Amino acid sequence: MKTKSYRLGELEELVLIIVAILKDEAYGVKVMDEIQDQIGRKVNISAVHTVLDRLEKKGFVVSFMGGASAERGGRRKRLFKVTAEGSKAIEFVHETRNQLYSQIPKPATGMG
Amino acid sequence: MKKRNPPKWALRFLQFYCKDRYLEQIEGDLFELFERNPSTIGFIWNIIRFFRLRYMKGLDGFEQLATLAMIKNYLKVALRSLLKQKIYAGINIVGLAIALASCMLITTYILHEKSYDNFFKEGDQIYRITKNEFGSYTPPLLAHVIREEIPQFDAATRSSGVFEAFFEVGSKQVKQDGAIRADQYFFDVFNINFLKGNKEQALKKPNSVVLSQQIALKYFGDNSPIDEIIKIDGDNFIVTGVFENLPRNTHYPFTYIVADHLDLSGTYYWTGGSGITYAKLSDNSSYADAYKSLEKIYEKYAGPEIITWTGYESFEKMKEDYPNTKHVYFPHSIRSIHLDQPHLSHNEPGNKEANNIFSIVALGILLIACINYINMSTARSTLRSKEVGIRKTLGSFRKQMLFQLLIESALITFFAILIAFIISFLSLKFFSEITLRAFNLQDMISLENLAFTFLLFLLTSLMAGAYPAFVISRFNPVEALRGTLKLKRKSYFRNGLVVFQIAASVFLITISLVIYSQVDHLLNQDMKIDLHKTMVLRNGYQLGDKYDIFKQELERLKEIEIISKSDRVPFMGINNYGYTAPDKGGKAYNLDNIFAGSDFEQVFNLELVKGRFLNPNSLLDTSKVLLNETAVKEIGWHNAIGKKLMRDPFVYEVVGVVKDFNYQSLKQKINPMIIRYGASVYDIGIWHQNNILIKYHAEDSTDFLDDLQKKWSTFVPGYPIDISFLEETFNKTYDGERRFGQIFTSFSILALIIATLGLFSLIAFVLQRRRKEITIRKVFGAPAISIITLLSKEFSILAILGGTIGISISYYWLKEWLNDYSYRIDLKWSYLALPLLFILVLTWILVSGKSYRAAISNPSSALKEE
Repeated sequence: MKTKSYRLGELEELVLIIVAILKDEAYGVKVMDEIQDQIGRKVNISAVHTVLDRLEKKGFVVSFMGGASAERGGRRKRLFKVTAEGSKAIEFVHETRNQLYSQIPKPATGMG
Repeated sequence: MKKRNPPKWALRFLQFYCKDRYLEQIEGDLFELFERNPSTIGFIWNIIRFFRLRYMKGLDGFEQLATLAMIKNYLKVALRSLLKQKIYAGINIVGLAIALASCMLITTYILHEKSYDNFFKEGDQIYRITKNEFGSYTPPLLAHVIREEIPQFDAATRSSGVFEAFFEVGSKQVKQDGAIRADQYFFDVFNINFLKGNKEQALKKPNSVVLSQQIALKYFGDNSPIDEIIKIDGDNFIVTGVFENLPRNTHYPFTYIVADHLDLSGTYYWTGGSGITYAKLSDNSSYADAYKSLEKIYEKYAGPEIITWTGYESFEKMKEDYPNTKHVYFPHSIRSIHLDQPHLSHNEPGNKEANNIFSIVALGILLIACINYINMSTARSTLRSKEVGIRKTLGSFRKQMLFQLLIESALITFFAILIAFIISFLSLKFFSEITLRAFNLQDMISLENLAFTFLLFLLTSLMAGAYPAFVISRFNPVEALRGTLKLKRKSYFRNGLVVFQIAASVFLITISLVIYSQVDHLLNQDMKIDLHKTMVLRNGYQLGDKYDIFKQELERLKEIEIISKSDRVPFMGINNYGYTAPDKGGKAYNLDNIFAGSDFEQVFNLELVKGRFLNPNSLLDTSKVLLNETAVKEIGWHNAIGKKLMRDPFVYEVVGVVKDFNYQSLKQKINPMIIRYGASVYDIGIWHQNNILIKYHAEDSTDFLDDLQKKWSTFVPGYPIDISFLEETFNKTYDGERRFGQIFTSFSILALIIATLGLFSLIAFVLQRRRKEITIRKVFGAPAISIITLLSKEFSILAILGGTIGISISYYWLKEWLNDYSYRIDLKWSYLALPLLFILVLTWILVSGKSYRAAISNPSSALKEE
């Protein structure tokens, strides 16, 4: 059987993986921070929200509202969790990348 | 530390557009980021970044393919129809661009005019106190009394200026403008940022001076100016502070402040004064209470003086006689000064009326340009009929058609706005010159301005696009497809719009013409004074008691006719003093007061009506005065010679009456005037030789300027000479009118260009439609000239109708405008006929130029088409 193919944008892929890493703790600002800390890339908060929303529409993540606290002006967080479909997508991306990576002729990698 | 909050309005904006489902999470994240880094700008920026289609209310399903694709398609069709009719689209875009550029410039101007003094912290609580309602200068002790006796004010300060002073710093000797004097309470009222020095202590010591950053940089470069010494007008001052430069939109544009302390034990009058008083209302006091207290102060201090001088029994009685005067030291909010009380401004004053007129004119031009669009697209609407027919047959709703057509007008407006930006950037320098404001690119792209531009974009798209869209989308699809759709030959609506365009252009032309004629008329009045042969040396007091020798030596030069001196000079502002006439029951008169030296009458060619001139060599004449005819008339004396005038405690005797002469802008009538003898020898008289007046024979003053300069520097070494020519000063009094005329003319030229463009394309269209008719006439032997006449007739009627309407409206407006001038031109018929003739000739040229081509073309090319 042919495996289902997943299409993910570059930032989508990144955000999806980070949501998976954060496990139940993922929400807008946190994801943004994580991208900044781990990859060193600055992303505007609105871009993160847009990507999360898009991932949810594609069914890769689900969201639920967290509890309220005094911080954040009393606003609740929307927390994201990777779905089974999302996990498959991550796996797919990972595998295909690895597969491609392994095909690179050896001398071309590293400093030679 | 106070916890900072993100801006409420930005949050409200988010709440306004954002879907509920997303709102909470977005707000939460924004708050979290703000708590981490409390940057207001960052917060606003993020909200702007969240302004995306996906989060907007009411746009569910917007991302659905169909809607997006339709909009793309609309844009494509719109672009195609533009490209298909390049000339018409070009005319529309250029016309709209010119109009929009005018609107954008005017918006920039008006926003600037409204922004005056907004930058002062707590500026809405700062009041400029005037004597009665309009008197700029207030008694010296007023600020002190406000501080002591009126609890509603937190602070009050006395200052004076803005003037020029002579700076000596090291070896540098320069005249520096922007000076004010102020007492040590100045910064209690004006909370100005200090960059160096201690604000509280800065003006405490009598010989201190505080500089703006700009002045500090000019004289001390990067070194700290604190504790440096500057010689200002001969006295040493120590620099005690540096403050942030004031923005240019202030009514009080000072660049340095010289400490000026008042000796409170002195005796001062309460009805006159030379200082400017500002006071700051406290947070919990009302304006009304403060006003009442100021009224009480006026009665308490000024009241007794007024009673003794006027001879009224009581203050109440006096008030009854002058019910229209405000008997108070009147508080004006400083933010209202620029536009509402321009005479109190020390900067280029604003003009509320001009603001209104310009915004109306700018909107008028925009309307003219929109009419071009409306006329052209309704006229050419049959060309779109097939498209409308097919769209409707395939199931388009009328609403969708409307939307599509509006997108088309929005697209045209969008292109026009892009060009308008370029036009307004390029003309910004010229615009700054005629408005006397220094605009830069930043003013044009300020947030407020861009918001207005966006509004302008929406307004124009609607104004231009609504009617054509309404007409075109109404087409019956069957008729439209069959090609039987007929546009009415005569469209009253379209013709009405053309008439309006012509009327508006003629209105503007007429007004420009009359404004120019009026200014010209004022400049060419016979002034009696030899304006072009009189010059003024300012700072004459520097000569001290050497004035007489100076005069004698200069008069020996062959080019110089005569020299005199005075405290004030015609056309540069005259003081107004109150006098009472004992034989008129002590009634008070306000007379324009001038202190004149010997030979004053010769410099200004004064003529005697009665009596004699003042004799400068007789000490007795210090108590003698001259009056002009208007003064005698106002006081009501038959024979003024020997009559007495009083200005407490002195009595003056009238010894002569001079013929009325103009010493102010001819806008004003001649006021009653008194000429007093200006003494030179004693201390107070030093101000009576503020100005040295020089009348010369030579045609060209450059011949003896060198000699004059040399003489001055031997008499007043180290103090630069300051010469002004009376003719220039006189011409300057009409700067306002001239600028108004310039702006008006620029606008009318623009309006005319746009209207001409519209007329041109309309004529072209009509000719195209009647091409067959013309050709058939030709085939039957009509000569070219009769064809041209036939076509001109229709447009001539429109031009005459529009022209007449335009002229009638301008006639009424101009009559009103001219009423302000005591020397005014008659509204001769030629002023009104000329613009009408002009617009007629223009129409004929356009029509005949276009129809000539049609009339001489080969008939077969037009007829064989089908």
